[in-house]
Parts: sequence; structure tokens; C-alpha cells
Amino acid sequence: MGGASGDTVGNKTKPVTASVYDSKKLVIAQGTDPDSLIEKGLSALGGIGLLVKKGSSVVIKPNYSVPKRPGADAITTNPLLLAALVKQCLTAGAKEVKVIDFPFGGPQCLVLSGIKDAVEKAGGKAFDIGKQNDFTEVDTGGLTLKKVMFSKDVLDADVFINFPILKHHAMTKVTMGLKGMMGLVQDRQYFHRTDLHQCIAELTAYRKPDLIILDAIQGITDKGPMGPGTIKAWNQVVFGVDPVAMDAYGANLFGVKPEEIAYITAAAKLGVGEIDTQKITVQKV
Amino acid sequence: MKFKLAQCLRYALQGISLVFFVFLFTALVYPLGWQAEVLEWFSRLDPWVLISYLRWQHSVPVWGWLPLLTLVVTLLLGRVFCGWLCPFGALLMLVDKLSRAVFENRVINKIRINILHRSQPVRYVWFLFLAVIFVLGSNWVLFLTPFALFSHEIVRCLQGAVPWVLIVIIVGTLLSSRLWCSVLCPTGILLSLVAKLRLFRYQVDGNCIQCSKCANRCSVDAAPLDIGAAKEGCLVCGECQKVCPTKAVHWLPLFANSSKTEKELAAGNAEVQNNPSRRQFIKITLAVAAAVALWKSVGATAKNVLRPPGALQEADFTAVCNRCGRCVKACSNNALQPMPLTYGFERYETPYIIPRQANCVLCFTCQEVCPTGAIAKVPLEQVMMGTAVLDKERCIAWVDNKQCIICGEQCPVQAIEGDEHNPPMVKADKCVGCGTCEKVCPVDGVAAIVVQPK
Repeated sequence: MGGASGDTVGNKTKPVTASVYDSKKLVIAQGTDPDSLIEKGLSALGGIGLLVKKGSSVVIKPNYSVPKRPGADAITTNPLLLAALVKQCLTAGAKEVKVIDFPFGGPQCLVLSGIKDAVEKAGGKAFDIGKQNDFTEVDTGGLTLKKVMFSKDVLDADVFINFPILKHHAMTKVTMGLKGMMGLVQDRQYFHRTDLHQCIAELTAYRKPDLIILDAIQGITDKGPMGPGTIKAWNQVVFGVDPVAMDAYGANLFGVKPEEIAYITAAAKLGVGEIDTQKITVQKV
Repeated sequence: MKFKLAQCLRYALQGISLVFFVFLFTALVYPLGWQAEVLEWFSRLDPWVLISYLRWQHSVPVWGWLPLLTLVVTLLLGRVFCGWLCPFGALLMLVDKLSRAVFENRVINKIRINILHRSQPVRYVWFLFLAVIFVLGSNWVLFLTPFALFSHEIVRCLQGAVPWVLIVIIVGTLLSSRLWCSVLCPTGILLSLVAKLRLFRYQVDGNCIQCSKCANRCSVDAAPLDIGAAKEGCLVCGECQKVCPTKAVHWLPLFANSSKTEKELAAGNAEVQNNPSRRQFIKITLAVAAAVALWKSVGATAKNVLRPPGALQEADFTAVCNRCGRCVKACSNNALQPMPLTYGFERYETPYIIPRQANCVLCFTCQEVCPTGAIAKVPLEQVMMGTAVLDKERCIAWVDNKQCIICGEQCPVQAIEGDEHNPPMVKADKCVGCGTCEKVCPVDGVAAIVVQPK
């Protein structure tokens, strides 16, 4: 199928990832209107049609891990951006589009974030993973995170898109795509018990998303990840396929040097991507 | 013709009530829809809900008119609530009908009528017993009311547990008709008491040939045969009228009796009502003594447990909760569990949380579905379930310098401070005791951070 997910059957095989998009390029869509941000960002990449072929199944992983209670904004991925992406995938011919996360706060997170409503209206399915049956054990090939219970939905998908929000995180300073991959595994406690940053790096090395979109319209810059915190607006959405370059760009935008974020340097060391944003083409649209 | 119409209407109402009630439970999931509110209002038809509310609130709730309406209707027409509307009554009616159809045998029928008839005197002694333990602060009375008991059993079925109480009552109904409705159900007895004064009742005229067909048919031993009018337990089902071969049974106002004089009727009533004998006095005394003894033996307080957010103080909570299980069913994180018997009879089946297994996510769905107010509707700022206590000697951030603040990351109220350079610290004044930290702590076995219930 269109995506570059490779062979994901069984738990021994490491998925092969070769991107359909230019991995040395990031697209920065600027503005605030969700539909046009997604539209112009995707077309600058080359169009969603390169990735999503007719009849393919798409899994999108936003960040809605925390309950967005009244007064706590900019802590979960913007539901309107997600809806716009779901529509693009369906228009490209996707047979189904699933939106999944493993939230901290139970089923209310999906509802309170507004994601359930927006995604379903756009024609996609939004649901929580978290039950034993949602995961299957995979061999990551890593040294710290050797085996992990990983999302079946992602393993079975033709196209996997990671769609984090840029926001503060008390433990790792900032959270984006790399950290957000933790929403696809069952036992997050293992990460903290062993080596958080190394596990995050090895997890992304195991299954690189086929596309990463970073919601940087606005995010909290303190009291993360739970919020409510101080909200900062960057008014942009970032598109790319290099997980390290994406997070490095996001860190710079957030105001932290990428080299200071241990999971970014760990991922760069593993060869997951390019930490030096100077070596990346940045196209603003 | 008129009777046929009434019967159809009754069956329709009972059928709708039963099916709808069960359906409402299947819809009791987060996020709640209209079903939760309908269920709450439906349950308020039972006057016991109001009595229980008044005991601890001392003010009349806005919905107070609904249970009062039930009482007024009972005063006029008798137990139409039990015979026409109650979903549990509808189920037992169905079981009874089935039993009578399957065991169409004279001996079994005789046994059934006999048990039902002989247990009638137990009713008010049992009621007194329930009243005493209710006044003493136990809510087992409310548990036995149809909306709570049936709720509890439906939830057990939906959770894959065996509904023992329901099975026992159904078997009892197979053997002794609607004994539960006529003798044991607190709501049934309460409405029977009120129905003693009711205006309309089934009465027999001079055409009665004493064939006992009505008495054999009546599912609550209230047929109008003995005393000329149906007894107070009558469910207004009209079966007596239907089976009467001489058409001698009529649905009439109290003082419009067709054959027997008012005096005769009054005398008949008086005979049943005022019969103070020494035996009864002894029974009543025994009931009170048993109630007090029971209460004393089970009232012992055990260690505190984590209750749902907004739960009343422990003593009030066990006294107000009716164990209907709706919060357990609706809990969005499957955190609420019915308490096992090992915690004592008084707290048995009340909802509690074992945070290490599943934490409260503060969605407050339990508050929305609680029909008694045992889980009060309080906002997040006023929730006080307990306080997290950190064991620094076991915390891997303190002991092993691990990059772990998962407790703080997931704390929904930011009551745990810390970052990559500083290990976690609990700010007790902010903590609500939801147990998220205890659930997610990566330490093996007992968590390094544990919630102390309030």
C-alpha cells in the first residue's frame, strides 16, 4: 500500500521505513485556520495522495492524554486540525481513518478534548486504546526497550501519522512527536523504571511514523503535561517525516536547545534522524 | 370489554417498564445521555427514596412531588405502582404467570396459595424490623426496594457476576407467587399500609358463591373473598374480577358497596386491622430486639477506604447509599467496585476504589447517576477523597535517581511537584486523593506513593 510501513506481521520483524516524502525537508504552514493550514502544508509536501492510496487504512495518533477541563486549553492536539486531516485522507481514498491514543484520564479525555466529536463528524473513527487486546508484543531491536506491547492498530495500518501538540513537560522539558510515541505502548512504567529517554528513542527507531504533523498553533509553556498552564501561540503547523528533525525544530520553537533534550539526542545517536536543523530544508507556506 | 382494555394497558405498561428499565442500564456509560436522568426520575417514584433523603437532608427536594404523587395515587386507587408500573413487579408477574402456566397442577397450586397465605402475618413484623434498623442508620431497607435491588442485580448481570438475590427471589416466586411483593418488599409494605385507606377497591356483591377462584388466582393473597373487599395488598390487577364465574366482583369506591352494608365491610376491615393479641406483641418485641442486636453486631467500623469523589462522610455514606450499583456500572475508568463482605455487613456492596488497580479519573459520572445523594454533586475544587503520601525510601526518583515523575505527570490537579532535576514532592493541600499517582507508580508491588483515605 501507499505507506512505507513495510512488513509488520509477527513480532520479530522490524518495520522497514522508507518515506515517500523528502526526509530532509520540513514544511511550516503559518496561520490559524485549521483547514487551510492542513491543506497548504500537505500540498507543499507533495500532497497526501503520495502517502494515502485508495483503499488504504490510516491511523492517526494525536495527543489527548490529559483531560481538557474547562479553563485548561492548549494541552491536546487541535480537534479541527485533526478533522481537516481526516477529511484529506478520506478524500485521497482511504478506506478507514482511525484516531487513537492511550490517555491517562480514561474515556473523558477523548470527549473533553473535542476530538471524538470532530473526528466522527469528519468521517473518521476515534477511540482509546489501553486494553490488553489493543497491544501485541514486538521485538524493537533496542537495547533498553527490547520487547514492548505495541499498538496493534498501528502495526496493522498502511499509513501511520503522528500528530502531537507542542507543549511543556515537567520531566522532559517539552513533549512532541518522539515523546508522544509512548501513547502507543501499554507499559509506560517500564520507560520510567529503566531509562526514559533511551526507551523513547528506541521506540521511534522501531516504528517511524510515515508522516509527522506538529500542532504548534498554541501550547502551554509550563505546568505540563497536565495544565492548565501559560499558553503561547506560535500559529504554525509543522510537517515532516524525520522524527528527530521535527522534534529539533519544535524544541527550538519552544525555546529549548534540541541538544538539551535527552530523548532527542538519544534518538539522533540511534540514527533515527537529523538533529541539526541547519542540514534540513525548511519551507514556509 | 372494559376489563380487557385495562388488562392490555397494564401489560403494556409493565412490559414497557421492564424493558425500558433494563435498557436504561445498558446506556449507563460515559458520557451519559438522557437515559441517566430518566432513570433517576423513574426511581423517584418510590416514596422510600424521599424518606431516605429526608432522614439526612432535612429539606424537601424539588422532586419531592413525585413520590408524594405515588402516595396520593395509592390513597385513591391502591397499589397501582406495584401492579402496573414497578419494573421489578413486572418481572415477578411474568415469572408468576409462567409458573402458573407450567405447573398447572392442583397440588402445587394449593401449596403456592398456602405459603402465600400463611406468610401474610409476617409482613408488618418484618416491616417493623426494617423500620427499626432504618432509624438506627442502616440502609439495607433501601437496598431491598425495587429500584435499588433490581438495579443492583442488573448491574451484576452486566458485569458478568451471578445475581444471587434475583435468583433467590425468582425461585421464591415460582414456588409462592408474588410473596416478595406482598410480604417482603419495603415499598410494597409501605404502599400496603397507605392502601388500607384507599378509596377504590374490588368488592363482592351478593352473587358470590364462595368458589374461591379469586383467592386461588390472586398473586398477593388479597382477594375480596373473606371480607367482601380486596385487602390492602391488592395490586389492582383485576384477575379476581376476570375469574369470577358469577360476575360478583366490582371495582367501586369504598362506600358504594353493592351488597354488603358499609357496617359489615367496616367490621370486616376492623377484624383484620385491629387484632391486638399477646402473640403479636411478642413477635413485635422480638423483631425490635433482633433489629437492635443485628445492628450492634454489624455496626463495627473497619479501616477507612477510598470512596467515590463527593461521597458523604463514611458513617453517612453507608447510611445513605442504597447499593444500587449504578456508579459501579457508569464509572468511566472501572475504578468503582462493590465492597466485599470482608469489610463488614454494614458496608457490603457499597462502592469503593482500590487505586493500585484502577484510579478515579475525576469524571464525576458517579455523582450524576447516584439516586440517593450518597455521592454528592460537588465540583473538583471541593473533592476530598484522601491524600497521597510518598515513600521516599521506595521512590525510584529519590533512591535510584531515575528520570521518573510519572506520578506528577499524570496528577490531574498538579499536586505533585518535581522535574528532571527534582524528585517528586506531594503538595497535600492540592491533593484530592484520586489515586492516579498510586496507580501509575512504576515500582513493583505496593506503590511508592499511596493514598490515605480521608
